[in-house]
Amino acid sequence: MNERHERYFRWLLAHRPTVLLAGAAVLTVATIGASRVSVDYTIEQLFPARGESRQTFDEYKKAFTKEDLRFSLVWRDSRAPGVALFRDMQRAAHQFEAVGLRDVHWIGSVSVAEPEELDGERALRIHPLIEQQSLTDEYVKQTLARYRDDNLYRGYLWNADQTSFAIHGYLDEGTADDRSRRRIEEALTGKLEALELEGVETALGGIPVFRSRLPKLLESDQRLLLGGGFVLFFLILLLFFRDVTQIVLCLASAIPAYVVTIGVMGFLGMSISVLTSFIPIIVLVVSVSDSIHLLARFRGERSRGRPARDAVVRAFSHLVVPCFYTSITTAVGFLSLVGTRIGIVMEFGAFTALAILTAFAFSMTALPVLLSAAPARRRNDRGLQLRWIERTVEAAVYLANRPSRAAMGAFLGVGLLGLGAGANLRTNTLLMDDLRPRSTLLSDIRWIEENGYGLFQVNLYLREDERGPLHDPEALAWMRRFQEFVSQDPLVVSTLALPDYIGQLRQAVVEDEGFSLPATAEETSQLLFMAELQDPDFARDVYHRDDGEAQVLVTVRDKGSVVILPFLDRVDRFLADDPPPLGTARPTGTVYLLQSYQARILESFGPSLLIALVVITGILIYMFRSWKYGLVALLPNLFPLVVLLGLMRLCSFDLKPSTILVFSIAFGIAADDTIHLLGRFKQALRGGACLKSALVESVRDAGPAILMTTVVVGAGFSLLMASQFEVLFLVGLMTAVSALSAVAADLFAFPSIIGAWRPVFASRATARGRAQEAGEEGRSRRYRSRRAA
Amino acid sequence: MKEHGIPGGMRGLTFLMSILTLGGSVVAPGTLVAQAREDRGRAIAEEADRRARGYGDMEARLTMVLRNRHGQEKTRRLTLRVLEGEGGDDKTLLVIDQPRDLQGTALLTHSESAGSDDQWLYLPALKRVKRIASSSQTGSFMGSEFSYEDIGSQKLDEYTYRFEGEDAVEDMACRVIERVPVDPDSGYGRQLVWIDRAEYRILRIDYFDREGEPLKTLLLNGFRRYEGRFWRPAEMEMANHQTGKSTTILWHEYRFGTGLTAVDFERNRLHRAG
Repeated sequence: MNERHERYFRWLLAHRPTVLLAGAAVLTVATIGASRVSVDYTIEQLFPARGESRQTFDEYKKAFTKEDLRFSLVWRDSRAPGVALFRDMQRAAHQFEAVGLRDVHWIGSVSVAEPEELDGERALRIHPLIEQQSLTDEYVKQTLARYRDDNLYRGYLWNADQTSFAIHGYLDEGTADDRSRRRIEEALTGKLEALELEGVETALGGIPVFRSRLPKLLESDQRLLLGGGFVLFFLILLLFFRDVTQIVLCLASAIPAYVVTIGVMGFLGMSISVLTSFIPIIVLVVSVSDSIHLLARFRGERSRGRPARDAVVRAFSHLVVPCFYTSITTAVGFLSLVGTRIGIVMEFGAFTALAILTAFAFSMTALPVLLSAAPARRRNDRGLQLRWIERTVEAAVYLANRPSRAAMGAFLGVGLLGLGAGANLRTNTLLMDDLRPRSTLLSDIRWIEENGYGLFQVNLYLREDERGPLHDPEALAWMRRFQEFVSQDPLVVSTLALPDYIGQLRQAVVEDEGFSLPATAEETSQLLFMAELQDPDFARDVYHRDDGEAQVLVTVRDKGSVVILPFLDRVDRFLADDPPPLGTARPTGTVYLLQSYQARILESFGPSLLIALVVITGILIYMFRSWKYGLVALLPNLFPLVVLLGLMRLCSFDLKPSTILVFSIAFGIAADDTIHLLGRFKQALRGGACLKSALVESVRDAGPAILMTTVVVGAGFSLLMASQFEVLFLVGLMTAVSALSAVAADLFAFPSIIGAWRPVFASRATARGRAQEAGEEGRSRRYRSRRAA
Repeated sequence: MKEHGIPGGMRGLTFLMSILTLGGSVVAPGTLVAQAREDRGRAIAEEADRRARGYGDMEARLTMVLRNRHGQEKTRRLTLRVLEGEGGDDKTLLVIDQPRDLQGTALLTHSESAGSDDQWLYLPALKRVKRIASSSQTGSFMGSEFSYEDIGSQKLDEYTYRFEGEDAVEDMACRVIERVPVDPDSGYGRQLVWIDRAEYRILRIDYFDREGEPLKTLLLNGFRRYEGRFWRPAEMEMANHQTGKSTTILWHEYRFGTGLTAVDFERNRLHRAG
């Protein structure tokens, strides 16, 4: 035991009020900062913070803001299109307006340019596609049939065979915040349910709907985790330790860490994102693991009859270094995410690291003070001597005594299998990636897609240059070519661009010609001027003439990055081979940015993990002052990772940003147990024990706590498998698996590795240790002889 | 796609011409004070309207300078001809001179006080005159910050009025009236209008959107009196507070009583207008 550490903890206990007051002051200041933090789950957080693609998107968003403002109701009706269908849709459309959505588009409101007879003259009239004053079953049917394949409506207002229809409404740009989205989504859902439409299947979709419902699901899952997790952790710890106060104190050490982290975020003017909302979960896992070791040690000291203060001093002095290393290695693991250069991920990595280090600081200041002041009770550590724990520890001790090449080979084999499987993992991310298939929200999205609609867009953003306006016939013909090119792709639901509007308009003005594009820019310009007299927003969704900006809207299905990324590559190739004759064209939009973001995370996964491994190995080498031990200590940490790779392959999970986050958590858990085990091992070696005795001692000493940590973490996280989010389900499943594989690696593989390479490590043992080892060998031989006899 | 605009009526640029003045005061100040604020507001508006009319026919050229929020400018040039009709049934011909791709495009409007206006558009690129069945009033006029509602002829009964008080615009004493559009499809919730006490010229209008938020401000400057009666501004500047964009209309070559007749405003002569 380090005397400096012991002096520190004695000083701490001698100044309990000061320590507690200081802690309270820090928490008070942090609470002030935390009160300034807002929750922000905007989708843009997931995009690259800087760079050309982000700049293009920002420019595009200034011009065409509607992409993520649209609420869509998809409507499947068993009735043939007619007056009854129209009237029911009208009622639903009124609900869109009633909740404050603008530009409500449906078959009764969307405009069409048509010629008509007016006072004996042919006139252009832009009017609602289906007009109420002419309403008959036949009129509705004929009108829909006439425009069935028109790009302006197909895939937007109806599907290809007109068996389902859609109503769209747009959030006002000025109120497109989380609160408005949620208020409108809830109000609209309630009003649509109140309509009690018979024989009609509907689903509400659109990016604002996801952005309203996803945080709600996230919050409910976090409540499940933090509430249920706390309760479960508490119950299991109670089973082991039978002391409510001590357990509460250990679990509570995660809370100040989170408050301080959120406080710092508040003072820095930052918001809680989808990712940083996971910090409490991670801090809880990391701190509970250290707390179990501290508590087990503390109680061990108490059971030897030491007073509470002495027990605290001894337990914390012994474990402060291993706990520091577990915290620093986990923090480094998360800090490596800063390398992704994605704002939200960088924030998550940095603040999780801060939270973990803060949890360590509280564990080593407030926790010993509180633990020493906790009321003394009769100790009952039966939980620590549970038969399965004892048996498992004894099995590990057996292996430590008799290092087995077979055991090591088995671990090596599993590791290689995992690596091999991991090499074949598929990288695939969907846009709605974090939901599980049974989630109502995801099933709604899939239903909408099955009905022939797409909720996500790839946008080709065009800017005019000095060569001419974007409504020039050459530019229109190019847009048409691009539309035809992308329309061939099965991923694409529909496309929309200026030629669709101009073609319809021209047909209505020049009645003796069919659908054709203007021959000159003047003609287009004059046609647009004419249309704008009647409908000021005519073609505004795709063309802003005065600002020289246009877009080609490509609606796609959410088929995952394995399909979308090659499609985006094909778009890039088209643009390279056939660039626009006038102006510039750049692909952008939510799909493009999300996929770029996810691709970048996946690309940076390897380097980030490698950096984390190198830094952690460096820390371990420094901790043991030996590169051999440092490298060996790394092996049990890597084992859970390769097991996870194998599991993912076995369960057909794809590699995606959410699963990568699980690797960070798994790595943190594995590293913690290894460090505690190696910490004890090193102390035993320094105490003069031989290699084998040191192994046995460390397994006996740290083994029960490691097993307990595994049970607590594994069981606690298994709760998450009930979540609607795939990422939380995977955190639950994979954390449980990684905890199990980590314990197997620490208790069974690690002693075998050390044992198998005893000559290499024995050089480090002291002369007394070598003598002891010789004695152990002799005893062991005698034991084997007796057994043989 | 956009929801269909409600037919309202782009009724030419007669309102631009109706931002005018008259000398003297028809309604005695003492009487005005005694009237209810609504009546007083209406009376002021009536007087301003009365003074704006009676010119018979006129012609003017306009240069419209559009500025986006970055200060970049675009220019539009137009020629306007107006034939005053009885009871506000004016005939307006607007010919676009610039931008080049709209050059020669001519919009003929026959205002109908009793119903919706009749409109025809001549498209030189197609060499066709096309009747327009209905038009929107809330949309932007040629990409400017002026809507068709702002530039269309504005009849007194299209608003309710209320006297708000006294104020000054650039040291000119004004009466401020509030006017609220009767048409529920108007783009505005209300407007505050500054009318100078001496000549009943509109010097400033503040526009508020349907939510009551400030939307735009119109300032009129450089007034000159024509034909000894008709005050006309040389410059009108509309600033949109919500988008940061602005538009300036510069008026040139005002000519009154040029001899325009109803024949000049016939559909069949539209193709010659440019």
